Amino acid sequence: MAVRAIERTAVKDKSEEVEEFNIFVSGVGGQGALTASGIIARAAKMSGLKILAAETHGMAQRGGSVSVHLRIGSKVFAPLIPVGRAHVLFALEPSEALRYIEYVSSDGLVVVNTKEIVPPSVNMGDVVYPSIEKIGEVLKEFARKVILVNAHELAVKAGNPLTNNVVMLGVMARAIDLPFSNDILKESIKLTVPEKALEVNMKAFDLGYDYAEKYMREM
Amino acid sequence: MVLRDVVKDNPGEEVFLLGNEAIARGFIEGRLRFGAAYPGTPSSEITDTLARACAELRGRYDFFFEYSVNEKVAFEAAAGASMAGKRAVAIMKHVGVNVAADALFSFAYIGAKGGFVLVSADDPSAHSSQNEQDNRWYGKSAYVPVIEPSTIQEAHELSRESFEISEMLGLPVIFRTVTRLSHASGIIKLGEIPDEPFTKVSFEKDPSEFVLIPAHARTGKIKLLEKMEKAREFANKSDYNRIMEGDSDVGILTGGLGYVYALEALKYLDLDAWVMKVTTMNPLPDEKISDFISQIDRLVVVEELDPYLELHVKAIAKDVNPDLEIHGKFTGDFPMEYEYTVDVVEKGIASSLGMAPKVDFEEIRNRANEAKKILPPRPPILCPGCPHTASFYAIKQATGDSALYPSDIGCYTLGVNPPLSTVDITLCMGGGVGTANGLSYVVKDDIVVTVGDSTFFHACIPSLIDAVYNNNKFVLVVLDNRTTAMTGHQPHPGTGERACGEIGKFIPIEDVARSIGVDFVEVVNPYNLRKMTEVMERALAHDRVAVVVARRACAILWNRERKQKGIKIKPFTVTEDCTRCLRCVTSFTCPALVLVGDQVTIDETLCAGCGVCFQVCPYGAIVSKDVAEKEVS
Ligand SMILES: Cc1ncc(C[n+]2csc(CCOP(=O)(O)OP(=O)(O)O)c2C)c(N)n1
Repeated sequence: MAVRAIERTAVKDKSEEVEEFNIFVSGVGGQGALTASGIIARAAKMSGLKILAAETHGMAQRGGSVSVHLRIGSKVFAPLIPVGRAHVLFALEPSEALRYIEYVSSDGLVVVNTKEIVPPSVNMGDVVYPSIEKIGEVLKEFARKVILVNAHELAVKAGNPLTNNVVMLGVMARAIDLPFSNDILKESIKLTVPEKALEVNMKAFDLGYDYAEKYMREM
Repeated sequence: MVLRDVVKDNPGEEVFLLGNEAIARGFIEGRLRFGAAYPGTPSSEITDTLARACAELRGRYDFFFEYSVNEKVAFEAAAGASMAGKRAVAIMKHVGVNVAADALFSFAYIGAKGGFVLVSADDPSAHSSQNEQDNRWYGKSAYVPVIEPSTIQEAHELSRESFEISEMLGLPVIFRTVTRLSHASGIIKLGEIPDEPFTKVSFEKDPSEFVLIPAHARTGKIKLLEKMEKAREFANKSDYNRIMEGDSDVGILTGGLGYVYALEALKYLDLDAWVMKVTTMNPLPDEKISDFISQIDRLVVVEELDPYLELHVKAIAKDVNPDLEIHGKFTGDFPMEYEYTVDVVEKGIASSLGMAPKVDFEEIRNRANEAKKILPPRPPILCPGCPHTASFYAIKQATGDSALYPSDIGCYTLGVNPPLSTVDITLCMGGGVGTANGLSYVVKDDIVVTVGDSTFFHACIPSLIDAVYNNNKFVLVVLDNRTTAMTGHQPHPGTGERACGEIGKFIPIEDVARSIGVDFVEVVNPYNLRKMTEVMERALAHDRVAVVVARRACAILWNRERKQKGIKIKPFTVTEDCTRCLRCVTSFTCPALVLVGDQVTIDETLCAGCGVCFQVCPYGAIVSKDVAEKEVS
């Protein structure tokens, strides 16, 4: 019920001018990449924007790397983001930012959660997990703006480590002009998360938002 | 999954659906009465949605849906319903059509009474498959129309309309989708949920049609050719095949996802080319294509996988426009392998026309690949607590890791990876036991075949009968995790549940094996490593084919069950007794066992509490956290 009421009163704030806006979401299975993508997609729909999303299913889901292509705007036809044309690379895990680095546009934004999830391949001793500093450096060679954030820490501060994806949404919302307003994005979060987790998620969003605010001032 | 939106009876409302959900909704709006399927990525969400919608809509709009034992069975079940005049679909992944192909080729001769749709979900780039075959050819060789949507909206519309097309032509229709369409989401406008009640009918017999004795097959072939001629006329008239005018001498011939990639590429290249989108892949709209290629001097064909349109347009151009310059895969402008992306198509069109793409994709990709050299790979892995890991470990213990391990397709195929390395052959579903039969004649090694429970029912039973009959010796381990895990936990005969939640008859795998005449059949819980190893040793010593059923529910199901019942997971932990021998990560493996420096730790948030690593550790250094805490306090 709530969904419909919101949709009817949706503010069509920016839909006219948006032709193409691409967000590439990545992470590890179980981290909430699909939920974060769902929140963004819903916000776009609530704003009356055309939206296409492409997800990883099947085999790749078993503890593997998860990626979602989100494409918003009137001039978007294909489900996959072209190489070098993502406005945002939104990564819930550092190595998963680097894994998809070719997608981000050279003047795009990378927001990355610095909390690593070490894959078992490292256990076998053949490969090592690179340092965050190293990953950050490489990311900066590909995108103009890179924001590293320990979203796990902020999520814990908000009251639930599982909200790391919402922390990241807050960071992104402050760091780039999205094709929908922050109010709509927050509304979309409200409609997505369970009622009892609402407060923690709002707090998580704000902590991310404030973090980006500070980060950008210091830059 | 948003079942709520799939079953919503609010025509005109715009909802955000997964491609596969939109297809399922389209079938319901198209008055489907019966669906049958065997799961397979990327088709599974169509069937899972129909299964749930079938239960949800019961009493409002009645239709039946079953998970069949394999694709041939599913196809035949749907064909039966169609012969009786009811609208029916059979849904499967691309390789499933190979399994159903025998029925497909002959059903074309009989033809559809009630609208009949075969969904073939193809997987360019083989994201979740053993090959990336292009099933458009099936239409050609079986004389069956093929329709292929390019967008989610079109998929929704075409799945709804496909029954009409099938009934109008009196032919089964292949509806082809691909991974990137099935697993993309977009906004569709809902149509109506029908409200006609379901009634059973009396079958109208007509042996001249339904009984394919050679005489009838011969007349059937003539009728089939006549129907295909009608289908060709339909293709030439249909607006689903359309030409978009451009302002240049260049034309793009495309279909499927190639179409949307081409539109984007043209946008970036700022090209005003003519575009022809083909939706009926068989028969092709030959006259429309002729018109199209008469207007242009240069043609670029944009299609994923095989040069299907390209071959045909070459043949058509020979008569209509012999000077036409045709670019595609044969000219090397486009690759023969893998799915397309916007950049592949942008590059292909640019190179066909002697232009450069707007972005230097090659340079970006090369630079990215260089940068990624420091990345640890993150391939799919068996979950924490996966009973397959335990089974593979026990198998290795029993064989001294010296046997040959033909296997099959399912989550357990991941046993190919080190340190388990207990999957030596994977061919196709059923191919594990199948190849073991031949191998048993010619190899010296002990043979241990592993197959999943769903795989066992799918295509292993005939091969197992073959083994018993011919005295072929090997051990078959059925990894019975009580579900079809790989494709999203669908039920099967070994679970006794049915698609729409009804109770079915539970068929125990061990009973099947015994009834076939296997004289060594044992059921064991793989979480008990010692027991499973001991059973394996005896099975290996048996002088004929032996069957071991390793029965333990999939860890994902176990976690779900515990969550539902409010049971807390008790994780394990590593104590000070750890000698850093690393056996638990170098011969066993689990995502919850994490190496920090040279110390193994257990990630409590991942640990499923199965206790298998506790049995693997030679020093008793892995214990339940409860126990560890008690000892400390
Ligand atoms: C002919 C064919 N049909 C379907 C599939 C898709 N598919 C891959 S594995 C699998 C079944 C896996 O179930 P099971 O054997 O129980 O093993 P599990 O994944 O549970 O370990 C299916 C249906 C396929 N690869 N080939």
